[in-house]
Amino acid sequence: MPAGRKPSPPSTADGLAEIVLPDHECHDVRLGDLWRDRPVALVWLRHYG
Amino acid sequence: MQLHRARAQFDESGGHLVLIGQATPRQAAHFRRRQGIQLPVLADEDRVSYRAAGAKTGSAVDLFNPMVVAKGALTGLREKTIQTRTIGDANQLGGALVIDTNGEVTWSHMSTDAGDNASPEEILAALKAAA
Repeated sequence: MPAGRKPSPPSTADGLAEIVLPDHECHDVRLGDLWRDRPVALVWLRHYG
Repeated sequence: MQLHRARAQFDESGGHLVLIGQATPRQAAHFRRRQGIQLPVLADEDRVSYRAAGAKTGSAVDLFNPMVVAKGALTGLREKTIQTRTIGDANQLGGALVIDTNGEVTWSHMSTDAGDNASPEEILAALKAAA
């Protein structure tokens, strides 16, 4: 997203569901599995520093 | 890391909390150890999920305006932390989404500047409402 634009969160998680990311133990996690059984709060960190 | 301190409340909410950072799994593991965090941390080095979530890339104004700098300084004093070397794209802003079991985004707060972050209380309330 170009700098300066307003953030634009989605209304559904369709675009997130198939994304697979490794966790801190290198286990792959499909994002859609995170809300399959219970609601999830996903928090994107700005940076780790 | 205020979210970590509210972990028990998140566990009792009927939902759960997952962090996503823009780094490698190794860096995510180091971050957890250094901060003493027990929450799961996913590693999105390419920021694919950031883009899909609508997270903003900040401009210089979003990152360094006086209000943002002041808020960061106050947070550092309150939390007794200092910012160390930035890992990842320093311009990348974060945010939060609450997603229910139907895949609906029931609540969102994507940061508009570096000091614009939802409180743990706000996130927890949204998660309870979705449960």
